Amino acid sequence: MTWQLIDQATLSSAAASITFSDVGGYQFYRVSAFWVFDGSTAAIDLRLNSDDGANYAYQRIQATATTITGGRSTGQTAQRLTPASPFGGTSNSGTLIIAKPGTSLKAQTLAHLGIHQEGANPVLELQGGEWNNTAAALSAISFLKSSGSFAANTSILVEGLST
Amino acid sequence: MPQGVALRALMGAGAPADNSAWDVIDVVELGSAAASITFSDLSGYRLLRVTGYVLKDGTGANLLVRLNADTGANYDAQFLTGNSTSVVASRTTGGTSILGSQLAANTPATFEITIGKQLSGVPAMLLAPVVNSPVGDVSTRDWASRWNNTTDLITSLTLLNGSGNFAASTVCVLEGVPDA
Repeated sequence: MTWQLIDQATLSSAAASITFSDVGGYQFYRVSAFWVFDGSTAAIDLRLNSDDGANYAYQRIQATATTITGGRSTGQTAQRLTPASPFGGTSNSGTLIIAKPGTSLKAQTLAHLGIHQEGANPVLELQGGEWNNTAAALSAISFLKSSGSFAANTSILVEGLST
Repeated sequence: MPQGVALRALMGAGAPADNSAWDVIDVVELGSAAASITFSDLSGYRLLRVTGYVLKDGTGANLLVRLNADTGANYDAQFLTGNSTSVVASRTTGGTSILGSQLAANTPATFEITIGKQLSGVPAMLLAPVVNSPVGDVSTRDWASRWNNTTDLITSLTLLNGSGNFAASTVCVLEGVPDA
């Protein structure tokens, strides 16, 4: 037993969203990602099971130069991994742990993100999130761009661990 | 292109990856409440990693971490904690355990602890991001800790509660990179 590759993607053409379907059967997920933008300044959102209800909450810690800021959002329709402004850039990298070890347990996410800040220096972000769904197993992981598209060469790998 | 485009139509095929560098050493999945979780027999691994989803029982308390059951004042830690708009850095020294996470009653916490140590002459270093709900809303923290034992290799790792129990459905997975 070890982490298993579930799926990986390298976009060959632009796409507004990337969905990994049929990811069920694991208790922990690890996502490694490099998102390339099409030039539009926008956010990256995480959505689970295509649930667009107000079921997401997350806490962010963000560091840019000598400034550290925090913020919490609740009742959201997705977990916003990177803000659209002022940090929406042309490329971002991230690693995520997603845990949902039981259908009746809410999912939790840990995201560690490097955000390219167009025309300026990079931004570091740590996020913890929750998907308040205690009725369904995790079956799909989606990344959505709030406007525009992910560009070609966006690359994402999803692994899973089941006990 | 519309949202929700089918991924497989766009992606290039790639060879399956295999994280074979990490062995799963042990898995604990609680079928009933337990005050602590101990992983033993950890010698022979150069790096260790614990991925966990712990669920607290009806008593809020701290999740604590100890190595080799050492209850001496041998743990130092640096924390970065985000709670809404508040982001606080803090340090503790000479602790008898590591404060892994604050757990409110009946709430989960997810973490990944990476541990390096397995040679004499240096202290162990631990690093962990955590998401939890200590005040009812989601919060996150990052911590680094040092176990000031430069003599012993790590033989056991224990997750324990300040009070009360981990509830059933708690899952923790221990992995290690074997010595070459």
